[in-house]
Amino acid sequence: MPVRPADDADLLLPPGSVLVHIGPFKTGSSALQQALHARRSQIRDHGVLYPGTTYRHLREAAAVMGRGPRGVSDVPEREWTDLVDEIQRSDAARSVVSSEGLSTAGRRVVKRIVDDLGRDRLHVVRVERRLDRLLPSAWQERVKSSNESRTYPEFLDDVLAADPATAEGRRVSFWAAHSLEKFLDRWRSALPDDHIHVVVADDSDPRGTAAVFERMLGLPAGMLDPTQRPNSSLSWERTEVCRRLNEVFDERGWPDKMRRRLLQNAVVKAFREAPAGAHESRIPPVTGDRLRRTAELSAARIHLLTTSGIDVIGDPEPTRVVAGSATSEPDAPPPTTIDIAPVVAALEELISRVQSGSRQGTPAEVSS
Amino acid sequence: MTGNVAALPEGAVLLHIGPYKTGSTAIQQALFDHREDLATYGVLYPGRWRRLFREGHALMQWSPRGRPVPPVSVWDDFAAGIRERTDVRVCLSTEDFGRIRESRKAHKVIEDLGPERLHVIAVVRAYHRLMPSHWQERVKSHELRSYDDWLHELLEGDESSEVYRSFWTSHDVEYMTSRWLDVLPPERFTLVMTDDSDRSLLPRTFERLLGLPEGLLEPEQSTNASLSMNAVEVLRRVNNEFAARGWTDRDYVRLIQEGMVRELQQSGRGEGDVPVPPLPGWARPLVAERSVRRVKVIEKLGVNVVGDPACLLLPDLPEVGEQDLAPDRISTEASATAVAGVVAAALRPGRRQAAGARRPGKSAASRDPDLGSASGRQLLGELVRRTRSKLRRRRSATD
Repeated sequence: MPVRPADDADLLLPPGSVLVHIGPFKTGSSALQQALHARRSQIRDHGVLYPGTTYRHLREAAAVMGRGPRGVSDVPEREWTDLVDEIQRSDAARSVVSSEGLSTAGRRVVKRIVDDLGRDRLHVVRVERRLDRLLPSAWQERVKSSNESRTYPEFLDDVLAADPATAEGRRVSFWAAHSLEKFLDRWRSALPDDHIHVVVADDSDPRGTAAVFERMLGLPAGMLDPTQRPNSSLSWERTEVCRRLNEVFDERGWPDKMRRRLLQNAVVKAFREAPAGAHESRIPPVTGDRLRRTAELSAARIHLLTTSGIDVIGDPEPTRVVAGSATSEPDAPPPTTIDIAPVVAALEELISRVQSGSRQGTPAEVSS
Repeated sequence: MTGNVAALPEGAVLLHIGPYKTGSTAIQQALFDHREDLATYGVLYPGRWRRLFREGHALMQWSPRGRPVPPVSVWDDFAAGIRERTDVRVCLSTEDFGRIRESRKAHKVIEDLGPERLHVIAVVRAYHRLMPSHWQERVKSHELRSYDDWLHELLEGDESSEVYRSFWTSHDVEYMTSRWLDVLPPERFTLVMTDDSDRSLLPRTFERLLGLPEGLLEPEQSTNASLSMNAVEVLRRVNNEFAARGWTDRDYVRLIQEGMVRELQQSGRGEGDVPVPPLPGWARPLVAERSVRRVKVIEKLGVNVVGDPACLLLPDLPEVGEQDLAPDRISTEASATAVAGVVAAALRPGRRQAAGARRPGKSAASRDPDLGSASGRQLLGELVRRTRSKLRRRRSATD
């Protein structure tokens, strides 16, 4: 199939379709999920089922994959089959399932999903974002929710040294979710090319991806508003503090459950909410040799997209990373200081969770 | 400097009353660590902890916030035990007695320990060293005021202010010594002068008074356990939150003092973090004047003076800027340490805050940042020449 423009008049999926959105992480999926969740009943009135009651299908995805995120206990398989039942019973014209967790699903799980939901009606969609913008976001997300303890430069070096098509193992697990080659390999094993969609995200248009989803699902323009969700990204400084805390958790062997509860749900939460300080900075873009390697990988992705034969929605050319501006100046070192205010906010949130009188009880008794 | 210090008579009781933030922890730790050595030299350093805790609290009828006040009998029984030990020199130490306000309590201590055998020793630390250290200590225990606000209250306030009383009760030398000197003759009271430049002065003085070989009480290499100004500022803001939210004292002890503060002390200053500054410009004339007055008082008291009182006078100090007084940044390393300290405390198996006596065994509590690190080589030489120890020595004199 040729590359189609994002405003193509013919994006609407056939009636009965089930659209499975697999993210991956840091491509605007949370905003999209929140938008679907916020309009759950309105989109149902327009014939679109967003099954379940939560804003995304994290647990259902964990159930079908047989593994959950760290710190979350195993989810019973029934949660996936309940989701499937709800879709099968529904008379909705179209249904949407959304979980970034599915971006790492291997062939076996993909086959299961396709079998359960139906090869004829299932469409999978993945959002493609510029790689040089994805990398800092992905590192930050890993620090916040996946126990990442490598510094940003260390993470970049591991990821960029790998071949996305064959990368295996924890140090390059970035590619398990973000390798286009792996995505194509897994889903082509179970679905025809015209049921595999890649939406090219336009970083300059925050509503762009949502608008494509509206057209695919037959929703009125503007119904999905992805901008309501406040930007929850952390400064480099706050991310660095969290990274160091991941190291401390590793060094001391503190349980993942506690990391989830005290770090991810308290410290990170407070960091997200605390106003920006005067001295904080964004995680910088890749530069120098790292930028050159990113450009190589980016070119390979665009080539693969345009030649794969799957349905590409939106011109991938703007996602091309250009190394022309790559300089030899050394990358900025990780920050060593942070504004006091967000640190105090994080401590306060943490203390309020663990104080003796807390209704959540003592930490040892609390499950996440 | 300690040339005029002679060993106390056999059977004497040497009572060290601090006060707080004058380097007491280091000497207490050295005495406690060497208590078996001390015994072989006929010196008793009694008690299960680094210093007297419950005994002193019982006498004072006071205890730290969040801890129970022991009955006065705890002191009476302890003192009775000391009275029986006339066969040895006894050394006791508690900073709590350095802030006695009611003369009758000091008199009771003198009476209970034996007026005929009691000697008291206290340290006088230069204000420009003491004030930052004292404020920091208060912030580690609920203080909400900034350093600048605290100094204003300290230097411009009066008796009605708790800040004012808690500092000057211990560090106004005339006031502090008067509790004791209206009963005890001045020759049984020793004041040690320090500006932190010689951390061996206090151990040398104790060794001489107790008839111990020189060097026995050498403190272990000091790990500087004071917090950075940046960390203190974080802590102070957390204190405000504790007060505002009405969180319990028990949680303060558990999560802050035994969690966040302990880990920050153990990890040292982070990159870019700075010490608490000595004194802002406005405070210097006031402190300089008080320092001069203090030296005059000491000269008139007629007590034994060890060290040079001139070291108490205010020297030229570096400029202190706004950012030094109220930092708005902290190292990412110390930030993570502060959080990790609370997490560590929260993950520690629950235990009851049974008694004040639980704390002193803790390593962080047993270190003290107060004594300077400069070597006391000259002093050592002086001591070696003049000392007249009756007991055997570890090293021979070199004169």
